[in-house]
Amino acid sequence: MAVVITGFGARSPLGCSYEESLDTLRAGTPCVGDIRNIDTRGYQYTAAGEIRRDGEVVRTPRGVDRKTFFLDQALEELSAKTGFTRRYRPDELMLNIGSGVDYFDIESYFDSGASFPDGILRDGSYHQLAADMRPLAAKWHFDAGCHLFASACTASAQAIGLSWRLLRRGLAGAVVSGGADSMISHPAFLGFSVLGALSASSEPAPVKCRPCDLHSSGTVLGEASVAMMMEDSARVGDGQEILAEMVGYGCSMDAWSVTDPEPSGAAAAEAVRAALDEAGITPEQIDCIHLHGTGTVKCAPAEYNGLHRIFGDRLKDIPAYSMKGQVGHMIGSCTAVEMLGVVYSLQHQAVLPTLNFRTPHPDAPFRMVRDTPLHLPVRYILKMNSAFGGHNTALIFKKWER
Amino acid sequence: MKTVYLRYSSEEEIPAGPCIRKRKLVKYYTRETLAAVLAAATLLDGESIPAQTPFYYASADVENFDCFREVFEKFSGAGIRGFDAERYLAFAPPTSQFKIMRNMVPCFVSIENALTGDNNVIVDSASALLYAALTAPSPGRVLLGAGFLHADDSVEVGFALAEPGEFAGHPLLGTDAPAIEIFKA
Repeated sequence: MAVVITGFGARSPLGCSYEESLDTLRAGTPCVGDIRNIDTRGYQYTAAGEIRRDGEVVRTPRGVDRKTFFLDQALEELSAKTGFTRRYRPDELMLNIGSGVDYFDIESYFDSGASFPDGILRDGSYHQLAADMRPLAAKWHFDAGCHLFASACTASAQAIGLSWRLLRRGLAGAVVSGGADSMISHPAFLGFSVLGALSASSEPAPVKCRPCDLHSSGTVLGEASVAMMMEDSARVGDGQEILAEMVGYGCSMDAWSVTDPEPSGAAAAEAVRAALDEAGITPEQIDCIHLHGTGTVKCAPAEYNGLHRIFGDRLKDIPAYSMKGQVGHMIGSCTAVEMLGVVYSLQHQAVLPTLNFRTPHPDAPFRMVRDTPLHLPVRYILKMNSAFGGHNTALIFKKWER
Repeated sequence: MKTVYLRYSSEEEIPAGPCIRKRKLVKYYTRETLAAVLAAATLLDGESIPAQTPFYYASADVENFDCFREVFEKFSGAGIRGFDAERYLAFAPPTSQFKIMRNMVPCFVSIENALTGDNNVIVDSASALLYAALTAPSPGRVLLGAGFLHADDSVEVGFALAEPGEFAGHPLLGTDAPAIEIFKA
């Protein structure tokens, strides 16, 4: 059985459709700017990758949970493209989505003067994630289950990985997977400001996030809701395009620190090894690596060390890419939006340049692609992610070959 | 299958102290974390499990807002009306984000028990937790956990050590039931 990806619905800083997103990726347009959707007075960090349409940030009123609002739109796009509600019975359809913390309209709650904590749920300022997703699942007929995953930056990787396992074992007929997360809210910005993970660079917003660069100083937050169709290739209709095949998934835990990645990368390497074993391929068959590449100081060396355990000195020759320089870090939906880069590489046989990468890091000497896309035969891609808390994921995708 | 289910009322102290090895991390714990660490230690007492044992954990939808309490009380005490990000940041304890992020409870359980294997963090759903167990990639037993920190500070946690096949045909598969229900039976 081959588990394949047959379509996307996408709302992200790259654009408000799959096609617009790929066009923006190809053009290398910077998508990080000064935040427009919340009042940033009082914050040291004011840059973010907000959802854009035709290059303009999409504004929503205060009180709208942007992650579910845009997921609904992404599902509508996916339904139109793949006809999933027509091609599958509701009891075959499952929704597996990576997400993050709940949306809390803390500004309205404070302004209302409501007593704490009595009014939080009653006045509608707090949005419980699972409770909010259930009506969406009902609207789109996911009767086989609506499942949410929340391992921070690996949440959507774990959603996609579990979906792959379920499909391979015949436990789901078809799965819409991906991620929906928005860090464009006060609780998210307050939290990450406290954690000290955000870019301290004094450069303009579009160049604040510099993955794997010697002078990287932190990440930039973002938001995206991306839904992708995963199904058995045998059930794909004649007119339906197959964008990629998923062939491997591995996952591990550092069990070391909740704030920093384990510097030797030992557990991350185990995730890659497990994914390669599942795919039945050797490290030599990986053509390019799509990194987690957050732009934080400790991320790149740990990621390099983990991958070096698998690829050895060949690692410095494998083309590598991080999308976060262009769009920022979507946390719970980062893997989902970065899947657009994976599909781009497979479809166009090219690795895109990593925006804002200028100076190689001596402790993470990846072969980052710069300036223009690097064209090469791409059959297998390794997609890496890791999370605050110690989760590591490795996904392997293959160019579809009938 | 071996299971543990614990429940503590809002006034009860959770006696997790003796089983916590990484004491420096306790400042990041919630009551759910304390109960989960205790339940895992109780379940695994006398057991020898490989570090690669898969571990899947589900937390309920949030209904306890203690992670915001300190800031709200400081705003009220200072007579501040309306939201002010700068003051919020000044009042927020540095540990607050660790109490908001859903993956922290299983991360602390993993650190306490040196678990480095396959894992997943699930919101609320018994069905997703069971599916994670059923599709575990390696042979052998899996560790399952679920927690629910209620609005009144009472907390429930459940843990199980089982062969994945023991969850096949489980009545909560495909349902909207919360994960803690798996452990109450």
